[in-house]
Amino acid sequence: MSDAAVARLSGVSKTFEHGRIVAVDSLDLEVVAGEFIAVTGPSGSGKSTLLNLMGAMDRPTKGEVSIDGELLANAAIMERVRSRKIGFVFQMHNLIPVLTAKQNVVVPLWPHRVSKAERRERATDLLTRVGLADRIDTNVKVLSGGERQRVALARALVTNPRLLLADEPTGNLDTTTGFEVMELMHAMRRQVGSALVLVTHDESICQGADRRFQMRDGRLEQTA
Amino acid sequence: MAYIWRNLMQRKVRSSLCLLGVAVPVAMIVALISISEGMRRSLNNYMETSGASLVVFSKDAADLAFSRVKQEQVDAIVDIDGVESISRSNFMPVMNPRASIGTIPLFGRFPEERIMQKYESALTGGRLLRAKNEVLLGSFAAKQCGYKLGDSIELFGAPVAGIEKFEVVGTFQSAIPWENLGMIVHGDVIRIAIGKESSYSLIFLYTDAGATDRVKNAVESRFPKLIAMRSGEFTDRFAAQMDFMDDFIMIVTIIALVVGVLGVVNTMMMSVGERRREIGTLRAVGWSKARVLGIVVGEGLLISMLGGGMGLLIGVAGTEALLGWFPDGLLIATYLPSTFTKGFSVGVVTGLIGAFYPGWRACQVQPVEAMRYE
Repeated sequence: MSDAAVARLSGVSKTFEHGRIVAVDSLDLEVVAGEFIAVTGPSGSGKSTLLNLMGAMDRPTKGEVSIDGELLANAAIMERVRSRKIGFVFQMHNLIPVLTAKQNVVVPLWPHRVSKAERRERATDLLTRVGLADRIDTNVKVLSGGERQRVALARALVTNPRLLLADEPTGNLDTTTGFEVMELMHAMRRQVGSALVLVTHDESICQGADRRFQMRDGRLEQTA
Repeated sequence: MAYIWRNLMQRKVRSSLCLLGVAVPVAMIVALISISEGMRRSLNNYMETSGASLVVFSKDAADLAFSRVKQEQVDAIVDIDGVESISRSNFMPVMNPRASIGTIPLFGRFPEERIMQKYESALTGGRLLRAKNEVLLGSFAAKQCGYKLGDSIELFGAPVAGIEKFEVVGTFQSAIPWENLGMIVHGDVIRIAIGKESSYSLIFLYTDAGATDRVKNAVESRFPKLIAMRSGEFTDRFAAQMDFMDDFIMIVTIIALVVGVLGVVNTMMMSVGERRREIGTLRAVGWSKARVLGIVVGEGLLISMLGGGMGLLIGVAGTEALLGWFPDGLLIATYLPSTFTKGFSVGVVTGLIGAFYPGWRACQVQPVEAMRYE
């Protein structure tokens, strides 16, 4: 594994229903710091499973996954890695509907020993950078789809993650808003230095990727 | 905390129902304990208002109605050094003269004895007893039977001590609720009516200052089948007869706890079920299982604390409403801090137990739930 690798998958397979369904098949992949990797593929090709495995949300049936040099050997390590080294941007933003934008952004910090003042400062800074300075104390239920996804982006970056995982981040947005969100995502992850693994159906948002992969039947095929 | 509070406020109707599910059992417990405590207090008042130092009765009597103190024993007790005076008391139930069902307690008192004095201040009309053919009516008995001063009452269905009808010479309102249910007649009448002309159920002893222990020992050594108790001891012994009430309260508490727990479990399970993706997201961003458990149990705890507080208020209001149904203070309640502590604790325990299983289920939600969009 190279020194700059933030994620490494070695011979990783993931099967379901006692091996009848192979979602990810003997996959090897290394993601280096700051890199942007785009993965496309049809529904059911295993893209989301791949993201789950890289995101320490699921364990492979075979093979090993390491994040920032740490082998995801057990649930405690996976929990710690999720908490400190990975940021997620979900298709449906997955914000907590009863909280404000600022409160949503600091949700990943709650388990950490971060002072209230610092949380507030980080949330304000990130929400300002995503253009929501005037919506900081607004309940996320009243925000538009684009605004919610920007809050979700701020939340994903609040822990300065080494690896940012995005699952169809523009899937619920119109084209213009989708591009705006992607531009923000790239700008902000570059500031933090996070690598980005993007999983999408939408080829247009894969522009600028350092490497592009097509996923088919659980296997990755580099296309660019 | 804000997250917990807002989660509850997000589902107001469900949270309110859950709150009520906790509040009602707490209210029931507060009402039952307060009324039970009121009954104990009234027994205590009965002894205190008698002003007696000691109470003598049959050692083996499970109930005072079965106690028998013979006249010759009374005569001997009067002669014990340190005894200032005595008051004899007996009791029997009679059929309600104005109704085909129901009984009325008759309390036997002797007009010349000291215990009669306590009714002086309780009189609401007329005067105290002077003769065997007279009767004093408790306020509730007077109202229930519709008797007034000067009326004649046939108490026994047949003449007793040659008396067929008893004249109402006074009415009283005692601080002891159950005394108001009954009537007071001359003690000799009851002695004759029950066919044991030379015995009483209870003897109140008034002793010289500092002589109480000596008199107690003297009575008990001379009459092994009798017991002489201080007022406080007497209250404790007969309050123990109300242990059934404690058992009843315990059963109600357990049932209330089970019902409350089921209510909280149901509500919290629905809440957890609806928030699987939210919980999955929390797990995906690094929340530990313990933290997720803490949130769900915290919601249960908050709702049970609010429900507990509400239950205390409903309990007091409900008890007061219930007391209002019973005229003349027939039922009384005593509110003790310990009652509120017990009620509130039941509420909190309900919430904690009820939230734990849903909390455990929430812990089992995997982070991948965050990725399910269907």
